Amino acid sequence: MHSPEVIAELKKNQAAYETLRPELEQEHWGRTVLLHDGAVAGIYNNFGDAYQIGCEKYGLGRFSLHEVGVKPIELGFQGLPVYHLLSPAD
Amino acid sequence: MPSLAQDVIDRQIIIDVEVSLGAGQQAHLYSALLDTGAQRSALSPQVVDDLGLVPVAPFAIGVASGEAFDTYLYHARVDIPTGYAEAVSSSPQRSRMGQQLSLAGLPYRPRNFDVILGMDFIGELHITLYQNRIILSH
Repeated sequence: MHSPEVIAELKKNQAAYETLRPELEQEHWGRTVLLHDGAVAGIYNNFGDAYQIGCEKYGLGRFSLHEVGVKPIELGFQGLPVYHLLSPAD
Repeated sequence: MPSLAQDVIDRQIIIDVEVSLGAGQQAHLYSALLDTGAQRSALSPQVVDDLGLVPVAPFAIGVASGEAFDTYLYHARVDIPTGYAEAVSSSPQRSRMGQQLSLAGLPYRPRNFDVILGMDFIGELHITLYQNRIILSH
């Protein structure tokens, strides 16, 4: 669905984020980290600001954003069909 | 003040929303579920395809079993076009209630909606629920 270049950029940045996660969670909890080419390019208080700056500096698809400290979200009761669709038993 | 009233049908609150890349961009109309149990808003793959959304981060969604599965996070604008439903605003022009949001991608297309509006969106609205009818205002 998405171009291999975009996915490669996300994976590279994800690996970099995981390496830095303990330090970022200690010092920047709740902020948004902008990563480009496997390196931190900026840390912002607001996701929307980080998105805007990422688009302007690198272009959409050439950066990623990580919200420090965010855990997997719950979709609520209405999101339960997700489980059934992804269950290997199906 | 933009506002809209809508019936609750089959115990679900489903409204029309416009999704776009940003303010002033071309918008597409979808059905959206108001879900107070969802921590964040989400989009079906259909919306991602229609708008050509590009992921900005890997993301994880938790499910009832306690497991999480991987998806992506997108950035888009969601507006409630109050002109598409019964307007209770005294203002004659079409108005909107909207926000620029980061939304999780759903791995499937739900049967009767393409957008889940979670508490990140709902929390900015004033909601009155009365006799199987909901009134949203901003």
